[in-house]
Amino acid sequence: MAIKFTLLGGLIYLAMTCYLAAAVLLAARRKGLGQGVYFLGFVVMIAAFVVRWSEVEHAPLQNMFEVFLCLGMLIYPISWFCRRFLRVGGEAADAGFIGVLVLAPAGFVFSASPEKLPPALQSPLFVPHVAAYMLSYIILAKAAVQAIAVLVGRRQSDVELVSYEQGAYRIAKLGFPLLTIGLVLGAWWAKLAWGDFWSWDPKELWSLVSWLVFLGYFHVRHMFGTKYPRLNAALVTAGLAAILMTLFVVNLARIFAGLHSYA
Amino acid sequence: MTRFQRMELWAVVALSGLLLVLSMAGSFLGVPRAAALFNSWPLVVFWFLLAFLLIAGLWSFKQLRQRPGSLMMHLAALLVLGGAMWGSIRGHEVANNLLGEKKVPSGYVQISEGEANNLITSNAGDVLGHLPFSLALKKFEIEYYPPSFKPTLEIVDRHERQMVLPTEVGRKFAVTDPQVEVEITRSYATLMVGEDREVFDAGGAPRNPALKLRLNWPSGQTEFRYIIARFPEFGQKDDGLRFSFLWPEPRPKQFTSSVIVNGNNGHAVSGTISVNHPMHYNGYHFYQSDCGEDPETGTPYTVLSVTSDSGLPAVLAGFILLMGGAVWHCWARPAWAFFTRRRGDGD
Repeated sequence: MAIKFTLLGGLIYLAMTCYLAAAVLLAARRKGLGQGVYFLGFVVMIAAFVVRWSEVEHAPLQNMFEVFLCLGMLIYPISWFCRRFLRVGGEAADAGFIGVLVLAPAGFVFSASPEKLPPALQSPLFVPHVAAYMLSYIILAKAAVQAIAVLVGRRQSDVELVSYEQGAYRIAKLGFPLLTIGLVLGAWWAKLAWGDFWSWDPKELWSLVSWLVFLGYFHVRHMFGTKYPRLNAALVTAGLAAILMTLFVVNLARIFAGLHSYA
Repeated sequence: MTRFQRMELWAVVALSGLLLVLSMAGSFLGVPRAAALFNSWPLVVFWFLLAFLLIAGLWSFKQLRQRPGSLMMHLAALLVLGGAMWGSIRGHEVANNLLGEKKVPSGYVQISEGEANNLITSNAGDVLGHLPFSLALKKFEIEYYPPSFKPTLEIVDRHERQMVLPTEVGRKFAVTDPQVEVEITRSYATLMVGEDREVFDAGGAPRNPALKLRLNWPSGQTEFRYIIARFPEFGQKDDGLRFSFLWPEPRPKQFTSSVIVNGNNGHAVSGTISVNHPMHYNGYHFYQSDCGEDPETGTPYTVLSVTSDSGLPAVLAGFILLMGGAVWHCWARPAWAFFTRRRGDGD
């Protein structure tokens, strides 16, 4: 664990502070101010993303540091979209829990040394494949937070918002097509770069596991509707666990040697 | 929902669950063993069962056929499964036996610059078959990124003070503790040691960059040291000084093979193959896979991975349908409902 004494590091820590402050303010029902500070954190993250892009001279989605930087930027627009169009709240948890947690690895764990793109990553599919995955991951993390609220027995008190179970379902429906697009574009790219759509590599297998868990969730929900809310919520939470496995453990644990060692 | 439909759904959930468990288990096996597992005969049965259930689902669930998004996703799964099975090793075995083809599912072709080859081998070098045409390698090129920094000599003294210095031959630097004058007397692109233990520069592209330093001690003693970029421990002594030759390792940007395909009909076709830009010819795709130099002649060679294109159109069509279906089902219908102020799907 190391503190980054750079402009980029400073922006990450500032955004984390904004997200934490926003979470506290939103939890204390200071809605206007909380939303403002949350938005300020988002603006800071855009600045951090632009700084990183200019440093590395390509879309900063190559390594773990850049991936978490991107995730930290995406959380605010997802929160806004979910409230505006899906009637799902939870901004305090989004900012204070998801936002801070995804920025912590970028701020304290992963190296920010810039890297050139290896030949395999120089593809027009690089940005859409990774961007689709990052968007789906942050969306499905928010779905899982709603699902955890169901599992711990919380009830939605805001009449303008849908129930937590319904919220998890709506957000999962928002994230699943992106998860599908990420998976398919990855296979397509693998075909162009390596000659095989699928190599049974640990990263590929765990991304398939994530997709299958959500596929199972949609089938179970189609079969039973909201009859078993905890089962639905458990499946969404398991989906997030599979995503964390794909994103973190497969990349970092040495037992999973594969083709995605740079990812 | 009828009892049959419910059973069918349970069967799909069970098979998906089994695939999930196998995928988790496969991730611990490593790529070769996982590939062998998923291509084994019991798994072939599994894939057929999954395809059968998808067809049965499309037949028995009217809803599935009426909703474009659901229909697209289930058809997509069938197409991907069918295409992948047709293009698999087993699929090729069946096609070769039934249709009398001699298509090799995948392998490697190694070609030296200026030569031609049509031999497909495995990763281990076993012969798998022959291409019905030959590939000649006109030229193999590696494009590099510009170096991110200039080569430098780093000297760390007894007090861990660091000096970073340019590597110009003839430059002298004074170190205070221990007191010594350091002079760069020679720079090597490829340092080599001959049979008589003489050190020489093999020249060419830098393969073993090194510096020769002369250390002039206050006692009048003169000493030479070789500092090798890729072997940082070489040339170090226990005298309070540490030298490092920081060499910007060239980072490849692209590997490109310029080839000529000599078809059986006498026609020759030129093409280039680079990473992410394969070449297609007569039922096969060629991908840039590896490269090297003949250790004796120094002639560069390229290794192209070869993959049969059987089943490819079905898989690609499945991919497009899968993405389109997911977007249609999960986004387009609820968005339509939202904007027309109707109730969303499944709410």
